Amino acid sequence: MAGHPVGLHSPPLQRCIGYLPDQPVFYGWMTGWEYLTFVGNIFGLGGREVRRRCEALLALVELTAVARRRIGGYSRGMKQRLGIAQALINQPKVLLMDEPTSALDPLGRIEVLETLLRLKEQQTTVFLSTHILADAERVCDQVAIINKGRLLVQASVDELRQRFATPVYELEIEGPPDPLVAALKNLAWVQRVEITQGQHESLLRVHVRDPLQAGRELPKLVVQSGLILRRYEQVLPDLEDVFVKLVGTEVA
Amino acid sequence: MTTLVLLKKELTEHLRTHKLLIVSVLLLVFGMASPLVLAYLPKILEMVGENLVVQVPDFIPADAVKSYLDSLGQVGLLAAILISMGAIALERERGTAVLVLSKPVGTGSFVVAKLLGLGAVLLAGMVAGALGNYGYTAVLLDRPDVTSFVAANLLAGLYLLAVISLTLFFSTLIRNQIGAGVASLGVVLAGGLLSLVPALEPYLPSSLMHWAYSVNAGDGDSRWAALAVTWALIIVCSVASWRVLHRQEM
Repeated sequence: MAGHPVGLHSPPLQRCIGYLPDQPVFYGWMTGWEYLTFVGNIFGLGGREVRRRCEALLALVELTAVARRRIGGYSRGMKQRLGIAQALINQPKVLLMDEPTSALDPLGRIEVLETLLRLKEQQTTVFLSTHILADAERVCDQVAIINKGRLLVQASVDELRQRFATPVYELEIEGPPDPLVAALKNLAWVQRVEITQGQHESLLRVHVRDPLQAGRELPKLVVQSGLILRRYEQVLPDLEDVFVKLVGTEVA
Repeated sequence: MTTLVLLKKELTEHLRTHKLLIVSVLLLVFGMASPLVLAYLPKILEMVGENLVVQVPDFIPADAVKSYLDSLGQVGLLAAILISMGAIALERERGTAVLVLSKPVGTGSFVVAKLLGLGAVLLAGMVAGALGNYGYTAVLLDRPDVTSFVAANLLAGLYLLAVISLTLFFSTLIRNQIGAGVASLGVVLAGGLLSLVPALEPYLPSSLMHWAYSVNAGDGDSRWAALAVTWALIIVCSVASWRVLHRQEM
């Protein structure tokens, strides 16, 4: 990694990387500023340089206002962002992040994702592992899917969608969806149907093998089933579809 | 360089978490209490029972110092184990060590900084206790001989430093601070049992306490072999902690 062999306690490698564990734990008695200075000092930074980097990183992760507060009083999202800042103090070539958003509430998650998007503008390669595929879709240029320790595929999000995701039609219908679902399941061009049932209407996600045929047939089938079609559109398949297809095939 | 950075962090931590203050106050109290109790013992006995007839010897400064050395061998020893049992185990249990050791920090530096930091807490406590003990003894009884007093305190301090390095080793090995404390206390108690064997006694670190008592009493009963073994134990425990930590994944 970064031109160095990977192994336990390898200072030359450790100088080039930044690391953020899934739930970073800090010394609660330190302030955010003190912790960053401490990490900067470990990397041999001192005086004005460490001060400059601390200020810049605290601004990047939007913690300037609480920099002089003890970390023990930080929220999880704030700790996660401080974790990103400490991982960047040495201006690493590679930044490794283990599920950076998994333990966060929606607001904290958005904060961290926005920080990652800002990082993309800098010259750092970010590796992150996540089970939240929407996050990967939002911030990653390249995605690698690993199942049971084996790399299944690595490509850009768009490429994965094109290669692996089946086209999806979303139908919002009024009335019981059962007759329509039964009809769909017997058709060769339908791969699978996901149903989200509401009180009066249902949302059907129909994964199809032949999008042209589906585009022609689906509205007709809704009418033949005696249902009212509220909404009908072809949607862009997401990473979750790709994941299900790849890992599902593996499991099967 | 990184050792100094880590040591600075250790010292700040001991200050902020009041470890340094607690150990200093504890040993100061015991240091002051020893001459106080001896000086006022006749009056205390008088107050307890009017008809009680107890022959109280005339106490000399060495008695107050001996009483303080007793406290160091018991309370000081427990304090040494308590302050060091979580030093590494707790950092790993909580996860703070993962972040620090993912940086270019040598595991040797990490262990040395821990030992020096804890040594500094012990030193501060010993200085506070010694000042309290010397001052109160001088005021209430008489001035103890400075050379003997300092030598006895240094010997007791070195013994406690060996206990700290032993506990630090178990804190690295066991990953659980209670377990580390119990293991260390177990070894210390086993050492106490071994000291009952006359052939082994002169070589055990606990003999440094015996030497300290002798120095205080003005005897020439030295334990040079125990001094060498104690230094060796401190070095071996530190190196072993470093090697164990180096081989372990966080």
